[in-house]
Amino acid sequence: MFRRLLIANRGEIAIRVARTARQLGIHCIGVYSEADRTALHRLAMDESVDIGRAAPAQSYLNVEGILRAAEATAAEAIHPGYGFLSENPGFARRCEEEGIVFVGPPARALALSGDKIASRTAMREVGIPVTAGVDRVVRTVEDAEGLAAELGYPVLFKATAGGGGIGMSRVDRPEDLAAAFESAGSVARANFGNPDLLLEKYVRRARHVEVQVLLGEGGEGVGFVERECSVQRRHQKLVEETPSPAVTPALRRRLIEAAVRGLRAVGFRNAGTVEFLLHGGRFTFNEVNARLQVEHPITEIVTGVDLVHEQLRIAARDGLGVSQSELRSRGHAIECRINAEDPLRNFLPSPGRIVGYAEPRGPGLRVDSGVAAGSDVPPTYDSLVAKLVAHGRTRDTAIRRMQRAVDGFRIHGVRTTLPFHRALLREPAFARGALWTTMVADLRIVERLKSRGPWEETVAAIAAALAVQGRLAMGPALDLGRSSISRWALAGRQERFGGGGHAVSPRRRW
Amino acid sequence: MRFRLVVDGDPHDVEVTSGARGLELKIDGVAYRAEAKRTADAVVVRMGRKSISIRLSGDRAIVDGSAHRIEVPEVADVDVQAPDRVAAGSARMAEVRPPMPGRIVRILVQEGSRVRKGQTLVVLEAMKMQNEIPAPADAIVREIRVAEGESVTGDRVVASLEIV
Repeated sequence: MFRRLLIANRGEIAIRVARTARQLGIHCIGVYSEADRTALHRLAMDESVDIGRAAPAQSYLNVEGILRAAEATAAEAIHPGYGFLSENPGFARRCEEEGIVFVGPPARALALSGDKIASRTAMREVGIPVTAGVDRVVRTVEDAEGLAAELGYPVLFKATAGGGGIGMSRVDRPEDLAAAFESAGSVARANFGNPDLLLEKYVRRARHVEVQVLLGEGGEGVGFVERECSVQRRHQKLVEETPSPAVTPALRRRLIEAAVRGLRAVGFRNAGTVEFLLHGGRFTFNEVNARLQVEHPITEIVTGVDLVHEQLRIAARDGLGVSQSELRSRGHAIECRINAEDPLRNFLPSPGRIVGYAEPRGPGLRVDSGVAAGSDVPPTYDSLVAKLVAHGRTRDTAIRRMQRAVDGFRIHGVRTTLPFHRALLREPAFARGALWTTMVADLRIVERLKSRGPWEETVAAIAAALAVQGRLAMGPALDLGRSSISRWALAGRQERFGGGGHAVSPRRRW
Repeated sequence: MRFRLVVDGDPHDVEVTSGARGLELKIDGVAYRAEAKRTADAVVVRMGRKSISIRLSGDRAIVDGSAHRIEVPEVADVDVQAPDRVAAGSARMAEVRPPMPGRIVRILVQEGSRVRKGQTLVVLEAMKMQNEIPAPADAIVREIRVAEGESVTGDRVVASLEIV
């Protein structure tokens, strides 16, 4: 096993990786940008290195800067986490050239899985059903019109180099095709430096299921019980669970077999996930995620396998610590992604300082978080601040534990997706396990949100009490106890802050 | 009326109006309806099916038995109709501030441009998402105070407009 590991990431995933590595006695080296000087992930490390400016290109995406940090700290290996450089074949290649182990798939497997057309072709060649579509780049609008007519509407443009739901554009009618082609192409160029698009048949009311795979250096493989990630908004996952309520044991065996066979066929190693669409009892290949995924904890919690430990074992050529025959899955696990976004304002990003923070506790709960009270959530990076995972013997138990956990999770100072989760968990369709990828939009879950949560209700109640306290002066119009509150406020200010301006204490007590 | 209410260090923008059916509150832009009644030593606030007892004493609010520290550092004017995030310097001028900090990736108008209500003025990138900042009203762009590529805070004035 390695003795020194550099973790080239930030936030909850850097902390998550460091937990396992330190437990194995590995010296952990973190990296941080200017915006993360006081970030929590630095505290999870044995040491950490300043790698530059806040902009990702000048820090977490800077290949040479990260390699310099690894060299300066004598790191033997680099764990990339997810996002940033995790699926960048150029980075994997540079690590190899510098004699540093990249904890992930080989560069050529990354190059293949990063190209949606190449991976579709590769899966088809080994007999895995692929979502209907065309296995070449769509060159012109006329080309797209012909192909869409053959496939039948609705169709979906995807960036061949894309990921994370970016650059995907659904087209329902021929008259919208040209505009969608142009805009998807420019989004793809701006985000991935490559405007190439492919075209797939859009599958209505599909479920998104995926299989986590581990492949050892000798190609020995393990496929895990599927995760279902159908609860999405604009192609971004919000809630994941395992097992899928829709997958039978027979289907599960076929999914796992297909995923392991597909990744083995393309020379994949380490941890990866094969995504499928499930529709009408059939499954078709969607794409490969060549990294540890955000939602990996639900697989860990039902199997007891530490996926980061397995990644490190594979990278260190220590062999897999688990085999397919001994793998067991217990109960049901659900993950809710807690993002700094305001679901009551169309998921508007909500960066800022967290002034109050308390995680829920209780049986069957796990929280992977990147923040604490006093943490800044910078506007520069991804909005994920924490992942809440609930486990139970049955799906119902897991849902009930999650409901209690969501209600008990306090994050003040930034808006979060907690109110969305509160509403989703109460949705009858969710409770029945009737999930599909556009359910959040189709059921108008966000539009029906009424309240940000118990905390805001408390604030509203205090405001109402303040208002009636000064109510004597309040007419039928708006002349509400202004003078009494002002005097009260003034008194409070003089007492505490000598008449100062905004007095916001950085931490709150519970 | 509008005021800023800080509860246990967590600041909130509050708007209260009194309607025929009790109080209408907006906490950070989200609407709540409540009925509040004074009793001998407390205020009982009914919100939906919930009933919450609140005792106010100095800088403490005892909410159903648990104490919270409260401050009202700022009481805004009674003008409840002012558009969100637009501060009126004079009646006809409006200053546009972004709804959150981020980086200006594109400026889509020029000084002197006539813009329609809802037209995108600038595109702000925050948390890997692009957010369009619209004109709050039909207006003429008098000044643009940011440059493409610049990082801005949430209270920074991006543009000032003359409402037409």
